[in-house]
Amino acid sequence: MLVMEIVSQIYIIQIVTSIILGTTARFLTLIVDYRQYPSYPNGYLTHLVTGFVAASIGSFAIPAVITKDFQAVTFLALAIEQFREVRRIESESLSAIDDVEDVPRGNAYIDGISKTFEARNYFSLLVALSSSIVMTVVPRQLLWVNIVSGIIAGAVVFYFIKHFSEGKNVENIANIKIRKLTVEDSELYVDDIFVSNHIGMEKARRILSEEGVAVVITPKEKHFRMILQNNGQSQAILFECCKVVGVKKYHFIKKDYDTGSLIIVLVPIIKNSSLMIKTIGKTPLLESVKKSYEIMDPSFKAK
Amino acid sequence: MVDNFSKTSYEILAYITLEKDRAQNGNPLILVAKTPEEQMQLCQDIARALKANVVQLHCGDYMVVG
Repeated sequence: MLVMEIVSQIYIIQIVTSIILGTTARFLTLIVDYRQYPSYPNGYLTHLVTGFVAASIGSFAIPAVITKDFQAVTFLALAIEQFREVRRIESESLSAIDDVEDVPRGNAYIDGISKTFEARNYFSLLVALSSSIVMTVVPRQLLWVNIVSGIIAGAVVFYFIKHFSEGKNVENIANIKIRKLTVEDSELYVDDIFVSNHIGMEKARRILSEEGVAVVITPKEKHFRMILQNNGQSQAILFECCKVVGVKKYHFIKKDYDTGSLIIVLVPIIKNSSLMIKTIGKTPLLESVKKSYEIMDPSFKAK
Repeated sequence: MVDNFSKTSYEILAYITLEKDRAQNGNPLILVAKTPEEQMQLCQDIARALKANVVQLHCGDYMVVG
């Protein structure tokens, strides 16, 4: 009886440690993702709880196998279904609020965000599972050694998965610069490149001349224009830019097919050029539009 | 009054001209103004009401697009 109790205690410590590690992994990735996050604090809490559930499933798997409760392992399959549901719900939620944004995120960006949220649940599951495996394998004579081994295993797995799934940003593939915009009659130009003629009214011309900001995003390599000028990617850049500095009136985006550049012109609420450059630079490259094997390499860094 | 990037086509909501001869059959509302001032005022009023953009053509006519 006493032996049974000791065994249970060891399992409880193993399970609790793994759950804490798995949930912490989700918490750490939630902080990284805060910019993409649709709502705070309720959405934040929702994902923290789903992370906790994922970590719990990962923690229970090994003790369940050891106690010959093989049926419990099928919960892993159930977890995958649950994570897919997280992706679907996130996608639906973002699509539903897309109409009320100044600039829509676009389906490609929504798909990317939803995939990320699904993947982050696997972080919790795998971190908890790996620490649980290591804590089972490492001798339990010294409890603290066992716990520390579990923590190290969880941390190592977290580091590798995070490194593997780390996406690239626009600043990795492009140079971003503020340029002068010019209004000629009813036409808007940036660096002598025609952007729009939707400024037929005098008031529109005045607002753009006085308060408009133009940003030119030029790819560092020729083939990066395929990514930069993808409609979904451009929409994501414009969305992030407008979300951070706000849109007072107009926003235009234009592709320059000669140089492969992307031109953004808008009348922002917060006129802060460096903030705009920083925001555009930090916009993630969407998984669905990555066309270059070079940027698929995790060691690829900005040149 | 925004240019939506995801929008690939625009609709001409109104065409405001000074030349009566230019007013032909078509889908959009075609208005013939008497003076350039009236033409501009019409554009402004329609654009404001429909939250649309105004394009000035090189011939001097205006299109309200949305």
